[in-house]
Amino acid sequence: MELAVHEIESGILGINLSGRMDISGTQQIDLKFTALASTRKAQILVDLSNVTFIASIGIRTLINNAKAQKLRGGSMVLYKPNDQVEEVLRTTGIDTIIPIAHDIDEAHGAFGSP
Amino acid sequence: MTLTRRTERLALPETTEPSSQIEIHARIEQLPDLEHWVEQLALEFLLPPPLVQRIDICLTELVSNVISYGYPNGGLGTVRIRFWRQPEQIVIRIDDDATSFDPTAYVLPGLPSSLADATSGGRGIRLVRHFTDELHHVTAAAGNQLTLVFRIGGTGMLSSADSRQ
Repeated sequence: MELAVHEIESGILGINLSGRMDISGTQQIDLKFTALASTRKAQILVDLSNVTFIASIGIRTLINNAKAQKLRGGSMVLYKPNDQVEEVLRTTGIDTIIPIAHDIDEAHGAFGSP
Repeated sequence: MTLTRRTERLALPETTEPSSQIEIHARIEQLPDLEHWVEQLALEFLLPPPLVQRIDICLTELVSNVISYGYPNGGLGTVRIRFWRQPEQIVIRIDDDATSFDPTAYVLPGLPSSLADATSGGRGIRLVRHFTDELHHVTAAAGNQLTLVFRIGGTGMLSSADSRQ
């Protein structure tokens, strides 16, 4: 997997993930993702549009970091998963605990919600 | 979707040669071989992408479970996976030599109601039940035998009203 980071706008950090979020893929990005997503308070937009596959191990990484970010007072939004990835997220109930946004306005709304 | 526990072998394709098969060591490093095999199946048998994704996630979750939890005392296990392309369905059988585990009997934890409530267990099995049309488990002499059925054009539990329970 690959990870790229960019400041979307003040206060929102975009983390773009790409590739296959299975055991080996998740291991490749886990440390860097955690360092970016949960070591300081921020609004984290995790762009999943180039993630082709997600397994339960990948979901665990998303949840652990969303939890840690929430404890710091920030939040996480998942952005533009493809249909299959979104189905996996919805099947496991992740969409109800980490918001999923399909455009930037929806992401703003999700960050704004408590 | 049908979940069963059986004491006798499912009378499915035992008598016919599989369309394809792979045998891997129960090690994380072997998972890319499994992924590659699924890609080859997709090409060879002209499987539609949504079906390939369902097969991919089920095999990834189940084989990862075997590798992670199936050999608590160490040792190098072996996992054999056979694939039958039938007119109306795909049948996949996974044989391992791991400790007994029946995913059809596993009691799923409820879906999390908040981030704080989200635990780490059970998501893989939930996904497998969701994406298969049938799932059968047999405790074999050497380990486990799992049979997964995917209807061609089916969507697993997607069409079921209780898919989010």
